[in-house]
Amino acid sequence: MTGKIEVNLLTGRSLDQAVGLEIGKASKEYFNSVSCVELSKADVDTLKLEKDTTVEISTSHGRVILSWRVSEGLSPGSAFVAYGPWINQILGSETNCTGTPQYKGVKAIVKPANGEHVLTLLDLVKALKEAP
Amino acid sequence: MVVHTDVICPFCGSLCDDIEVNVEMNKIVGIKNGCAISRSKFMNYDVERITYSTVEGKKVQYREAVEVAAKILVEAKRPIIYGLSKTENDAIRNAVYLAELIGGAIDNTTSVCHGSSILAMQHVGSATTTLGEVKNRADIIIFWGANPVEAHPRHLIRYSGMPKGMYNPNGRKDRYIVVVDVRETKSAKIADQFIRVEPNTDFEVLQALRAAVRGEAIHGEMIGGVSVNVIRALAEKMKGARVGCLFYGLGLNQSEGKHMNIDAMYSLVSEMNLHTKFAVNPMRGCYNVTGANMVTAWQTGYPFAVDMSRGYPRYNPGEYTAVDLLARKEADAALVMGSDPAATFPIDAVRHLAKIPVVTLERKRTPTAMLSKVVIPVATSGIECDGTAYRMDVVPLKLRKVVDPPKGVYPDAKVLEDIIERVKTLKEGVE
Repeated sequence: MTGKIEVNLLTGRSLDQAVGLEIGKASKEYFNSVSCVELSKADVDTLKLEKDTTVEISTSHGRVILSWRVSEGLSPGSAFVAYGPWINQILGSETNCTGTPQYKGVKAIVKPANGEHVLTLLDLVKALKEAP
Repeated sequence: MVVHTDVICPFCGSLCDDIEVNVEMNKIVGIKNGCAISRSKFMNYDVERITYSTVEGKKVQYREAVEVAAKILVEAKRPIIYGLSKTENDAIRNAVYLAELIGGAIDNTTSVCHGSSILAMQHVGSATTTLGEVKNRADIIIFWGANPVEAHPRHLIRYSGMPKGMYNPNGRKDRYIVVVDVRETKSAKIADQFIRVEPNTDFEVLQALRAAVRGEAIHGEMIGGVSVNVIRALAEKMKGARVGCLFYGLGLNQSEGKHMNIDAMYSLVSEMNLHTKFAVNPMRGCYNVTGANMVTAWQTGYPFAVDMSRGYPRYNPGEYTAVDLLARKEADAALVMGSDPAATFPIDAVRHLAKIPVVTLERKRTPTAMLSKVVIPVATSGIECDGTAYRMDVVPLKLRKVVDPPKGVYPDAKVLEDIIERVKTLKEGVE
Protein backbone atom coordinates (compact mmCIF):
# COMPACT_ATOMS: atom_id res chain seq x y z
CA MET A 1 0.00 0.00 0.00
CA THR A 2 1.40 3.38 -0.97
CA GLY A 3 1.43 6.17 1.57
CA LYS A 4 0.57 9.81 1.24
CA ILE A 5 1.59 12.94 3.11
CA GLU A 6 0.15 16.42 3.59
CA VAL A 7 2.46 19.25 2.62
CA ASN A 8 2.61 23.01 2.55
CA LEU A 9 2.96 23.63 -1.17
CA LEU A 10 5.26 26.52 -2.11
CA THR A 11 5.63 27.80 -5.65
CA GLY A 12 8.16 30.35 -6.84
CA ARG A 13 10.89 31.45 -9.21
CA SER A 14 13.88 29.20 -9.79
CA LEU A 15 17.00 29.94 -11.79
CA ASP A 16 16.39 26.99 -14.11
CA GLN A 17 12.79 28.08 -14.71
CA ALA A 18 13.89 31.60 -15.65
CA VAL A 19 16.63 30.32 -17.95
CA GLY A 20 14.19 27.85 -19.51
CA LEU A 21 11.41 30.34 -20.16
CA GLU A 22 13.83 32.58 -22.05
CA ILE A 23 14.67 29.65 -24.31
CA GLY A 24 10.96 29.09 -24.77
CA LYS A 25 7.92 27.71 -22.97
CA ALA A 26 7.87 24.75 -25.33
CA SER A 27 11.52 23.92 -24.60
CA LYS A 28 12.77 20.85 -22.78
CA GLU A 29 14.64 23.08 -20.34
CA TYR A 30 11.43 24.87 -19.31
CA PHE A 31 9.51 21.60 -19.04
CA ASN A 32 12.15 20.05 -16.81
CA SER A 33 12.26 23.10 -14.55
CA VAL A 34 8.53 23.49 -13.89
CA SER A 35 7.16 19.95 -13.98
CA CYS A 36 9.18 18.70 -11.00
CA VAL A 37 8.37 18.95 -7.30
CA GLU A 38 11.12 19.32 -4.71
CA LEU A 39 10.63 17.35 -1.49
CA SER A 40 12.67 16.87 1.68
CA LYS A 41 14.67 13.67 2.00
CA ALA A 42 12.53 12.66 4.99
CA ASP A 43 9.31 12.99 2.98
CA VAL A 44 10.78 11.03 0.07
CA ASP A 45 11.66 8.26 2.52
CA THR A 46 8.18 8.35 4.07
CA LEU A 47 6.60 8.01 0.63
CA LYS A 48 9.11 5.28 -0.34
CA LEU A 49 9.62 6.98 -3.70
CA GLU A 50 11.80 5.16 -6.16
CA LYS A 51 14.17 6.93 -8.55
CA ASP A 52 12.68 8.15 -11.86
CA THR A 53 9.11 7.75 -10.73
CA THR A 54 6.38 10.39 -10.56
CA VAL A 55 4.13 11.73 -7.80
CA GLU A 56 0.56 12.97 -7.71
CA ILE A 57 -0.07 16.29 -5.96
CA SER A 58 -3.65 17.17 -5.21
CA THR A 59 -5.59 20.03 -3.65
CA SER A 60 -9.28 20.80 -3.55
CA HIS A 61 -8.83 22.29 -7.05
CA GLY A 62 -7.49 19.21 -8.80
CA ARG A 63 -4.54 16.91 -9.24
CA VAL A 64 -1.35 16.98 -11.28
CA ILE A 65 1.42 14.47 -11.96
CA LEU A 66 4.99 15.68 -11.57
CA SER A 67 8.48 14.24 -11.41
CA TRP A 68 10.32 14.77 -8.10
CA ARG A 69 13.72 15.46 -6.64
CA VAL A 70 15.18 15.96 -3.20
CA SER A 71 15.91 19.46 -1.93
CA GLU A 72 18.15 19.90 1.09
CA GLY A 73 16.68 23.32 1.81
CA LEU A 74 13.16 22.10 2.54
CA SER A 75 11.81 21.09 5.93
CA PRO A 76 9.75 17.91 6.10
CA GLY A 77 6.16 18.84 5.25
CA SER A 78 7.06 21.49 2.67
CA ALA A 79 7.15 21.00 -1.11
CA PHE A 80 8.40 23.42 -3.76
CA VAL A 81 7.46 23.66 -7.44
CA ALA A 82 8.68 26.40 -9.77
CA TYR A 83 5.96 28.70 -11.17
CA GLY A 84 4.37 27.34 -14.31
CA PRO A 85 1.27 25.88 -15.95
CA TRP A 86 1.74 22.46 -14.34
CA ILE A 87 1.39 23.45 -10.70
CA ASN A 88 -1.24 26.06 -11.59
CA GLN A 89 -3.52 23.12 -12.48
CA ILE A 90 -4.17 22.69 -8.76
CA LEU A 91 -4.09 26.26 -7.43
CA GLY A 92 -7.25 28.19 -6.64
CA SER A 93 -8.20 31.58 -8.03
CA GLU A 94 -9.58 33.10 -4.81
CA THR A 95 -7.81 36.39 -4.18
CA ASN A 96 -9.48 37.59 -0.97
CA CYS A 97 -10.16 40.96 -2.61
CA THR A 98 -6.47 41.59 -3.31
CA GLY A 99 -6.21 40.33 -6.90
CA THR A 100 -3.47 37.90 -5.88
CA PRO A 101 -4.16 34.15 -5.66
CA GLN A 102 -2.41 32.13 -2.98
CA TYR A 103 0.62 30.62 -4.68
CA LYS A 104 2.45 29.72 -1.47
CA GLY A 105 1.57 27.87 1.70
CA VAL A 106 -1.21 25.84 0.08
CA LYS A 107 -2.27 22.57 1.75
CA ALA A 108 -1.74 19.68 -0.65
CA ILE A 109 -1.48 15.90 -0.62
CA VAL A 110 1.50 14.14 -2.20
CA LYS A 111 1.53 10.44 -3.03
CA PRO A 112 3.24 8.11 -5.53
CA ALA A 113 1.62 8.31 -8.95
CA ASN A 114 1.89 4.58 -9.70
CA GLY A 115 3.32 4.93 -13.19
CA GLU A 116 1.30 7.91 -14.44
CA HIS A 117 3.27 10.21 -16.73
CA VAL A 118 3.77 13.96 -16.60
CA LEU A 119 1.63 15.69 -19.23
CA THR A 120 3.36 17.77 -21.89
CA LEU A 121 2.66 21.45 -22.49
CA LEU A 122 0.71 20.53 -25.62
CA ASP A 123 -1.38 18.09 -23.53
CA LEU A 124 -2.23 20.89 -21.11
CA VAL A 125 -3.15 23.33 -23.88
CA LYS A 126 -5.21 20.68 -25.69
CA ALA A 127 -7.16 19.93 -22.50
CA LEU A 128 -7.94 23.62 -22.11
CA LYS A 129 -9.11 23.93 -25.71
CA GLU A 130 -11.31 20.85 -25.45
CA ALA A 131 -12.77 21.64 -22.04
CA PRO A 132 -16.60 21.89 -22.12
CA MET B 1 31.37 42.40 -35.23
CA VAL B 2 29.69 45.29 -33.41
CA VAL B 3 30.14 45.47 -29.63
CA HIS B 4 27.35 47.24 -27.74
CA THR B 5 28.36 48.27 -24.23
CA ASP B 6 26.26 49.36 -21.24
CA VAL B 7 23.23 47.51 -22.55
CA ILE B 8 20.40 47.02 -20.06
CA CYS B 9 19.19 43.48 -19.45
CA PRO B 10 15.42 43.29 -19.92
CA PHE B 11 14.66 40.34 -17.66
CA CYS B 12 14.27 41.16 -13.95
CA GLY B 13 13.66 44.34 -11.98
CA SER B 14 17.38 44.82 -11.31
CA LEU B 15 17.81 46.12 -14.89
CA CYS B 16 21.58 45.52 -14.85
CA ASP B 17 23.00 48.24 -17.10
CA ASP B 18 26.48 46.90 -17.79
CA ILE B 19 25.80 44.14 -20.30
CA GLU B 20 28.11 43.88 -23.30
CA VAL B 21 26.44 42.43 -26.39
CA ASN B 22 28.33 41.24 -29.45
CA VAL B 23 26.42 41.36 -32.74
CA GLU B 24 27.36 39.92 -36.11
CA MET B 25 25.16 40.15 -39.20
CA ASN B 26 22.19 41.33 -37.11
CA LYS B 27 22.51 38.35 -34.75
CA ILE B 28 23.66 38.28 -31.13
CA VAL B 29 26.71 36.04 -30.94
CA GLY B 30 27.87 36.66 -27.39
CA ILE B 31 27.34 38.61 -24.19
CA LYS B 32 29.47 39.57 -21.21
CA ASN B 33 28.62 40.46 -17.61
CA GLY B 34 25.14 38.95 -17.64
CA CYS B 35 23.84 36.33 -15.22
CA ALA B 36 22.63 32.92 -16.42
CA ILE B 37 19.14 34.30 -17.06
CA SER B 38 20.46 37.33 -18.92
CA ARG B 39 22.63 35.08 -21.06
CA SER B 40 19.60 32.91 -21.84
CA LYS B 41 17.51 35.96 -22.73
CA PHE B 42 20.04 37.51 -25.13
CA MET B 43 21.38 34.31 -26.66
CA ASN B 44 17.92 32.74 -27.22
CA TYR B 45 15.99 35.86 -28.21
CA ASP B 46 15.37 34.37 -31.67
CA VAL B 47 14.60 30.78 -30.56
CA GLU B 48 10.97 29.66 -30.83
CA ARG B 49 10.31 33.10 -32.32
CA ILE B 50 6.93 34.01 -33.74
CA THR B 51 7.59 35.78 -37.02
CA TYR B 52 4.14 36.17 -38.56
CA SER B 53 0.60 36.99 -37.44
CA THR B 54 -2.08 34.35 -37.09
CA VAL B 55 -5.85 34.30 -36.77
CA GLU B 56 -7.34 31.01 -35.53
CA GLY B 57 -3.89 29.49 -36.03
CA LYS B 58 -3.70 30.42 -39.72
CA LYS B 59 -1.03 32.73 -41.10
CA VAL B 60 -2.41 36.13 -42.12
CA GLN B 61 -1.09 39.50 -43.14
CA TYR B 62 -0.26 41.89 -40.30
CA ARG B 63 -3.04 44.31 -41.30
CA GLU B 64 -5.63 41.54 -41.24
CA ALA B 65 -4.59 40.50 -37.75
CA VAL B 66 -4.84 44.10 -36.58
CA GLU B 67 -8.32 44.36 -38.11
CA VAL B 68 -9.58 41.18 -36.41
CA ALA B 69 -8.02 42.28 -33.12
CA ALA B 70 -9.73 45.66 -33.30
CA LYS B 71 -13.11 44.06 -34.06
CA ILE B 72 -12.80 41.67 -31.11
CA LEU B 73 -12.08 44.53 -28.74
CA VAL B 74 -14.80 46.85 -30.10
CA GLU B 75 -17.49 44.15 -30.07
CA ALA B 76 -16.69 42.94 -26.55
CA LYS B 77 -18.88 44.11 -23.66
CA ARG B 78 -16.27 43.49 -20.95
CA PRO B 79 -12.81 43.44 -22.53
CA ILE B 80 -9.67 43.33 -20.46
CA ILE B 81 -6.13 44.36 -21.31
CA TYR B 82 -3.58 42.46 -19.26
CA GLY B 83 0.18 42.07 -18.88
CA LEU B 84 2.28 45.17 -19.63
CA SER B 85 5.27 44.15 -17.51
CA LYS B 86 7.63 42.82 -20.17
CA THR B 87 7.39 45.77 -22.48
CA GLU B 88 8.50 49.40 -22.47
CA ASN B 89 6.68 52.48 -21.25
CA ASP B 90 5.42 53.88 -24.57
CA ALA B 91 3.61 50.60 -25.21
CA ILE B 92 2.07 50.69 -21.73
CA ARG B 93 0.85 54.24 -22.35
CA ASN B 94 -0.79 53.12 -25.60
CA ALA B 95 -2.40 50.15 -23.84
CA VAL B 96 -3.98 52.47 -21.27
CA TYR B 97 -5.32 54.67 -24.06
CA LEU B 98 -6.75 51.60 -25.82
CA ALA B 99 -8.45 50.51 -22.58
CA GLU B 100 -10.07 53.93 -22.35
CA LEU B 101 -11.25 53.76 -25.98
CA ILE B 102 -12.85 50.33 -25.62
CA GLY B 103 -14.18 50.92 -22.10
CA GLY B 104 -12.22 47.97 -20.78
CA ALA B 105 -10.42 46.98 -17.65
CA ILE B 106 -6.63 47.22 -17.63
CA ASP B 107 -4.45 45.29 -15.26
CA ASN B 108 -0.79 44.35 -15.13
CA THR B 109 1.13 41.43 -13.64
CA THR B 110 1.41 43.33 -10.37
CA SER B 111 -1.94 41.84 -9.48
CA VAL B 112 -0.42 38.36 -9.20
CA CYS B 113 2.94 39.45 -7.77
CA HIS B 114 3.42 42.66 -5.74
CA GLY B 115 -0.21 43.81 -5.83
CA SER B 116 -0.42 43.34 -2.09
CA SER B 117 2.69 45.52 -1.73
CA ILE B 118 0.84 48.36 -3.40
CA LEU B 119 -2.18 47.91 -1.14
CA ALA B 120 0.12 48.12 1.88
CA MET B 121 2.04 51.11 0.45
CA GLN B 122 -1.23 52.95 -0.02
CA HIS B 123 -2.24 52.13 3.55
CA VAL B 124 0.98 52.68 5.48
CA GLY B 125 3.29 54.63 3.19
CA SER B 126 6.78 53.48 2.33
CA ALA B 127 10.24 54.54 3.44
CA THR B 128 12.11 53.68 0.28
CA THR B 129 15.51 54.31 -1.28
CA THR B 130 17.49 53.68 -4.44
CA LEU B 131 19.79 50.74 -5.04
CA GLY B 132 22.70 53.19 -5.34
CA GLU B 133 22.08 54.40 -1.79
CA VAL B 134 21.89 50.79 -0.63
CA LYS B 135 25.23 50.04 -2.25
CA ASN B 136 26.91 53.09 -0.72
CA ARG B 137 25.36 53.22 2.74
CA ALA B 138 23.47 50.16 3.95
CA ASP B 139 25.30 47.94 6.45
CA ILE B 140 22.36 45.67 7.29
CA ILE B 141 20.48 44.00 4.47
CA ILE B 142 17.50 41.75 5.13
CA PHE B 143 15.90 39.62 2.43
CA TRP B 144 12.46 38.45 3.58
CA GLY B 145 10.59 35.92 1.46
CA ALA B 146 12.97 36.66 -1.40
CA ASN B 147 15.59 34.53 -3.12
CA PRO B 148 17.75 36.96 -5.10
CA VAL B 149 20.41 34.39 -5.97
CA GLU B 150 17.87 32.68 -8.24
CA ALA B 151 15.37 35.42 -9.07
CA HIS B 152 17.65 38.50 -9.29
CA PRO B 153 21.07 36.88 -9.62
CA ARG B 154 23.20 40.05 -9.76
CA HIS B 155 21.32 42.08 -7.14
CA LEU B 156 23.74 40.97 -4.43
CA ILE B 157 26.73 41.48 -6.71
CA ARG B 158 25.84 44.96 -7.94
CA TYR B 159 23.85 46.55 -5.13
CA SER B 160 23.18 44.77 -1.89
CA GLY B 161 25.92 42.28 -1.03
CA MET B 162 29.34 42.42 -2.59
CA PRO B 163 30.08 45.86 -4.08
CA LYS B 164 32.34 48.39 -2.44
CA GLY B 165 30.45 51.60 -1.69
CA MET B 166 31.16 55.06 -0.35
CA TYR B 167 30.61 53.97 3.28
CA ASN B 168 31.17 50.27 2.64
CA PRO B 169 34.79 50.30 1.42
CA ASN B 170 35.27 46.60 2.18
CA GLY B 171 32.23 45.42 0.25
CA ARG B 172 30.72 42.22 1.62
CA LYS B 173 32.67 42.47 4.90
CA ASP B 174 30.92 45.74 5.74
CA ARG B 175 27.43 44.28 5.41
CA TYR B 176 25.45 41.94 7.66
CA ILE B 177 23.02 39.98 5.52
CA VAL B 178 19.98 38.22 6.95
CA VAL B 179 17.64 35.94 5.00
CA VAL B 180 14.20 35.16 6.39
CA ASP B 181 12.36 32.44 4.49
CA VAL B 182 10.34 29.24 4.78
CA ARG B 183 13.06 27.24 3.02
CA GLU B 184 16.83 27.38 3.08
CA THR B 185 17.36 28.85 -0.37
CA LYS B 186 20.61 29.49 -2.20
CA SER B 187 20.37 33.05 -0.90
CA ALA B 188 20.11 31.74 2.67
CA LYS B 189 23.35 29.84 2.19
CA ILE B 190 25.36 32.99 1.47
CA ALA B 191 23.78 35.06 4.28
CA ASP B 192 25.33 35.79 7.68
CA GLN B 193 22.12 34.66 9.33
CA PHE B 194 19.23 32.52 8.12
CA ILE B 195 15.94 32.58 9.99
CA ARG B 196 13.46 29.91 8.98
CA VAL B 197 9.80 30.80 9.51
CA GLU B 198 6.90 28.40 9.21
CA PRO B 199 4.76 28.86 6.08
CA ASN B 200 1.96 31.42 6.47
CA THR B 201 3.35 32.91 9.70
CA ASP B 202 5.23 35.96 8.38
CA PHE B 203 2.60 38.30 9.82
CA GLU B 204 3.05 36.92 13.32
CA VAL B 205 6.86 37.05 13.11
CA LEU B 206 6.82 40.61 11.76
CA GLN B 207 4.46 41.77 14.49
CA ALA B 208 6.68 40.13 17.11
CA LEU B 209 9.68 41.91 15.58
CA ARG B 210 7.78 45.21 15.78
CA ALA B 211 7.06 44.52 19.44
CA ALA B 212 10.73 43.73 20.06
CA VAL B 213 11.81 46.97 18.34
CA ARG B 214 9.42 48.88 20.61
CA GLY B 215 10.72 47.03 23.66
CA GLU B 216 7.34 45.48 24.41
CA ALA B 217 6.66 42.08 25.97
CA ILE B 218 6.31 39.10 23.62
CA HIS B 219 4.26 36.23 25.02
CA GLY B 220 5.46 32.72 24.21
CA GLU B 221 8.87 31.31 23.40
CA MET B 222 8.40 30.61 19.69
CA ILE B 223 6.60 32.73 17.09
CA GLY B 224 6.08 31.18 13.66
CA GLY B 225 8.81 28.65 14.36
CA VAL B 226 11.30 31.36 15.38
CA SER B 227 12.68 31.69 18.91
CA VAL B 228 11.70 34.95 20.60
CA ASN B 229 15.36 35.35 21.56
CA VAL B 230 16.28 35.32 17.85
CA ILE B 231 13.57 37.91 17.15
CA ARG B 232 14.83 40.15 19.98
CA ALA B 233 18.44 39.82 18.81
CA LEU B 234 17.42 40.74 15.24
CA ALA B 235 15.57 43.79 16.53
CA GLU B 236 18.69 44.97 18.39
CA LYS B 237 20.87 44.29 15.35
CA MET B 238 18.53 46.35 13.16
CA LYS B 239 18.43 49.22 15.66
CA GLY B 240 22.22 49.26 15.64
CA ALA B 241 22.46 49.64 11.88
CA ARG B 242 24.00 52.75 10.36
CA VAL B 243 21.57 52.32 7.45
CA GLY B 244 19.41 49.26 6.88
CA CYS B 245 17.36 48.04 3.96
CA LEU B 246 14.70 45.37 3.96
CA PHE B 247 14.15 43.74 0.58
CA TYR B 248 11.16 41.47 0.38
CA GLY B 249 9.70 39.14 -2.20
CA LEU B 250 6.60 37.19 -3.08
CA GLY B 251 6.94 35.02 0.01
CA LEU B 252 4.92 37.76 1.69
CA ASN B 253 2.53 38.66 -1.15
CA GLN B 254 1.48 35.18 -2.16
CA SER B 255 1.01 33.43 1.18
CA GLU B 256 -1.73 33.83 3.78
CA GLY B 257 -1.98 37.35 5.09
CA LYS B 258 -0.96 38.90 1.74
CA HIS B 259 -1.18 42.69 2.08
CA MET B 260 -1.37 42.45 5.88
CA ASN B 261 2.08 40.83 5.90
CA ILE B 262 3.47 43.79 4.01
CA ASP B 263 1.44 46.23 6.05
CA ALA B 264 3.28 44.85 9.10
CA MET B 265 6.63 45.10 7.30
CA TYR B 266 6.12 48.72 6.22
CA SER B 267 4.97 49.58 9.75
CA LEU B 268 8.11 47.91 11.11
CA VAL B 269 10.33 49.98 8.82
CA SER B 270 8.46 53.14 9.69
CA GLU B 271 9.10 52.45 13.38
CA MET B 272 12.74 51.56 12.69
CA ASN B 273 13.26 55.14 11.51
CA LEU B 274 12.75 56.27 15.11
CA HIS B 275 16.09 54.54 15.81
CA THR B 276 18.15 54.74 12.60
CA LYS B 277 17.78 55.09 8.85
CA PHE B 278 15.91 52.11 7.43
CA ALA B 279 14.26 51.55 4.05
CA VAL B 280 12.13 48.86 2.46
CA ASN B 281 12.05 47.91 -1.22
CA PRO B 282 10.06 45.21 -3.03
CA MET B 283 12.08 42.82 -5.22
CA ARG B 284 10.15 43.37 -8.45
CA GLY B 285 10.25 40.42 -10.84
CA CYS B 286 9.44 41.36 -14.45
CA TYR B 287 11.86 43.97 -15.72
CA ASN B 288 9.27 46.71 -16.24
CA VAL B 289 6.45 45.79 -13.88
CA THR B 290 7.38 48.94 -11.98
CA GLY B 291 6.92 50.85 -15.23
CA ALA B 292 3.50 49.24 -15.69
CA ASN B 293 2.54 50.68 -12.29
CA MET B 294 4.07 54.08 -12.94
CA VAL B 295 2.64 54.61 -16.41
CA THR B 296 -0.81 53.31 -15.49
CA ALA B 297 -0.75 55.64 -12.49
CA TRP B 298 0.28 58.65 -14.63
CA GLN B 299 -2.55 57.99 -17.02
CA THR B 300 -5.35 56.90 -14.69
CA GLY B 301 -4.31 57.77 -11.16
CA TYR B 302 -4.05 54.09 -10.21
CA PRO B 303 -1.20 51.58 -10.58
CA PHE B 304 -3.15 48.43 -11.53
CA ALA B 305 -6.68 46.94 -11.44
CA VAL B 306 -8.27 49.86 -13.32
CA ASP B 307 -11.71 49.76 -14.95
CA MET B 308 -12.64 52.23 -17.70
CA SER B 309 -16.13 50.88 -18.41
CA ARG B 310 -17.83 54.03 -17.14
CA GLY B 311 -15.57 56.27 -19.20
CA TYR B 312 -13.44 57.27 -16.23
CA PRO B 313 -10.95 55.21 -14.24
CA ARG B 314 -12.04 53.24 -11.18
CA TYR B 315 -9.70 51.18 -9.01
CA ASN B 316 -10.55 48.04 -7.13
CA PRO B 317 -8.13 45.13 -6.66
CA GLY B 318 -10.15 41.96 -6.26
CA GLU B 319 -12.78 43.25 -8.68
CA TYR B 320 -10.94 44.69 -11.69
CA THR B 321 -7.91 42.42 -11.38
CA ALA B 322 -7.40 39.93 -14.19
CA VAL B 323 -7.63 36.69 -12.20
CA ASP B 324 -10.90 37.82 -10.63
CA LEU B 325 -12.42 39.06 -13.91
CA LEU B 326 -11.60 35.72 -15.54
CA ALA B 327 -12.48 33.42 -12.64
CA ARG B 328 -15.86 35.16 -12.32
CA LYS B 329 -16.30 34.57 -16.09
CA GLU B 330 -16.91 38.29 -16.47
CA ALA B 331 -14.36 39.18 -19.17
CA ASP B 332 -15.59 38.38 -22.69
CA ALA B 333 -12.41 39.27 -24.61
CA ALA B 334 -8.79 39.96 -23.75
CA LEU B 335 -5.72 41.62 -25.16
CA VAL B 336 -2.56 40.19 -23.61
CA MET B 337 0.89 41.72 -23.98
CA GLY B 338 4.12 41.43 -22.02
CA SER B 339 2.83 38.44 -20.07
CA ASP B 340 1.68 34.84 -20.32
CA PRO B 341 -1.39 34.44 -18.09
CA ALA B 342 -2.13 30.91 -19.33
CA ALA B 343 1.17 29.88 -17.74
CA THR B 344 0.90 32.01 -14.62
CA PHE B 345 -2.78 32.07 -13.55
CA PRO B 346 -4.61 29.42 -11.54
CA ILE B 347 -6.56 26.92 -13.57
CA ASP B 348 -10.07 28.41 -13.11
CA ALA B 349 -8.97 31.71 -14.59
CA VAL B 350 -7.10 30.01 -17.45
CA ARG B 351 -10.14 27.87 -18.32
CA HIS B 352 -12.18 31.02 -18.93
CA LEU B 353 -9.33 32.65 -20.85
CA ALA B 354 -9.40 29.63 -23.16
CA LYS B 355 -13.08 30.23 -23.91
CA ILE B 356 -13.00 33.90 -24.89
CA PRO B 357 -11.39 35.55 -27.91
CA VAL B 358 -7.85 36.57 -26.97
CA VAL B 359 -5.49 38.84 -28.86
CA THR B 360 -1.89 38.23 -27.89
CA LEU B 361 1.11 40.38 -28.70
CA GLU B 362 4.01 38.00 -28.16
CA ARG B 363 7.55 37.24 -29.31
CA LYS B 364 7.64 33.50 -28.59
CA ARG B 365 5.31 30.49 -28.50
CA THR B 366 3.59 30.54 -25.13
CA PRO B 367 0.54 28.77 -23.70
CA THR B 368 -1.40 32.05 -24.00
CA ALA B 369 -0.40 32.41 -27.65
CA MET B 370 -1.44 28.79 -28.27
CA LEU B 371 -4.92 29.57 -26.88
CA SER B 372 -5.34 32.90 -28.66
CA LYS B 373 -7.58 33.73 -31.58
CA VAL B 374 -5.19 36.41 -32.81
CA VAL B 375 -1.43 36.36 -32.35
CA ILE B 376 0.69 39.28 -33.50
CA PRO B 377 4.48 38.98 -33.17
CA VAL B 378 6.27 41.90 -31.55
CA ALA B 379 9.85 43.07 -31.24
CA THR B 380 11.69 42.20 -28.04
CA SER B 381 11.95 45.41 -26.01
CA GLY B 382 15.52 46.08 -24.97
CA ILE B 383 16.95 43.87 -27.72
CA GLU B 384 15.04 44.57 -30.96
CA CYS B 385 13.62 47.98 -30.03
CA ASP B 386 14.42 50.70 -27.53
CA GLY B 387 12.24 52.36 -24.92
CA THR B 388 12.24 53.21 -21.25
CA ALA B 389 11.80 50.90 -18.27
CA TYR B 390 11.70 51.44 -14.51
CA ARG B 391 14.12 49.58 -12.26
CA MET B 392 12.67 48.05 -9.08
CA ASP B 393 13.66 51.19 -7.13
CA VAL B 394 11.63 53.37 -9.56
CA VAL B 395 14.68 54.69 -11.43
CA PRO B 396 13.87 55.00 -15.17
CA LEU B 397 16.51 53.64 -17.55
CA LYS B 398 16.78 53.71 -21.33
CA LEU B 399 16.57 50.32 -23.00
CA ARG B 400 18.79 49.77 -26.03
CA LYS B 401 18.14 48.25 -29.43
CA VAL B 402 21.01 45.99 -30.51
CA VAL B 403 19.51 44.07 -33.44
CA ASP B 404 16.64 44.62 -35.89
CA PRO B 405 13.47 42.56 -35.40
CA PRO B 406 12.42 40.12 -38.14
CA LYS B 407 10.92 41.81 -41.19
CA GLY B 408 7.28 42.79 -40.60
CA VAL B 409 7.62 42.49 -36.81
CA TYR B 410 7.03 45.75 -34.94
CA PRO B 411 7.38 47.01 -31.35
CA ASP B 412 4.36 46.65 -29.03
CA ALA B 413 3.81 50.41 -29.13
CA LYS B 414 3.48 50.45 -32.92
CA VAL B 415 1.13 47.43 -33.00
CA LEU B 416 -1.06 49.10 -30.38
CA GLU B 417 -1.08 52.34 -32.38
CA ASP B 418 -2.36 50.42 -35.39
CA ILE B 419 -5.04 48.65 -33.33
CA ILE B 420 -6.06 52.00 -31.79
CA GLU B 421 -6.43 53.55 -35.23
CA ARG B 422 -8.73 50.71 -36.36
CA VAL B 423 -10.69 50.78 -33.10
CA LYS B 424 -11.36 54.48 -33.56
CA THR B 425 -12.58 53.93 -37.10
CA LEU B 426 -14.78 50.98 -36.14
CA LYS B 427 -16.31 52.86 -33.23
CA GLU B 428 -17.13 55.81 -35.45
CA GLY B 429 -18.64 53.42 -38.01
CA VAL B 430 -16.62 55.07 -40.74
CA GLU B 431 -14.48 53.14 -43.20
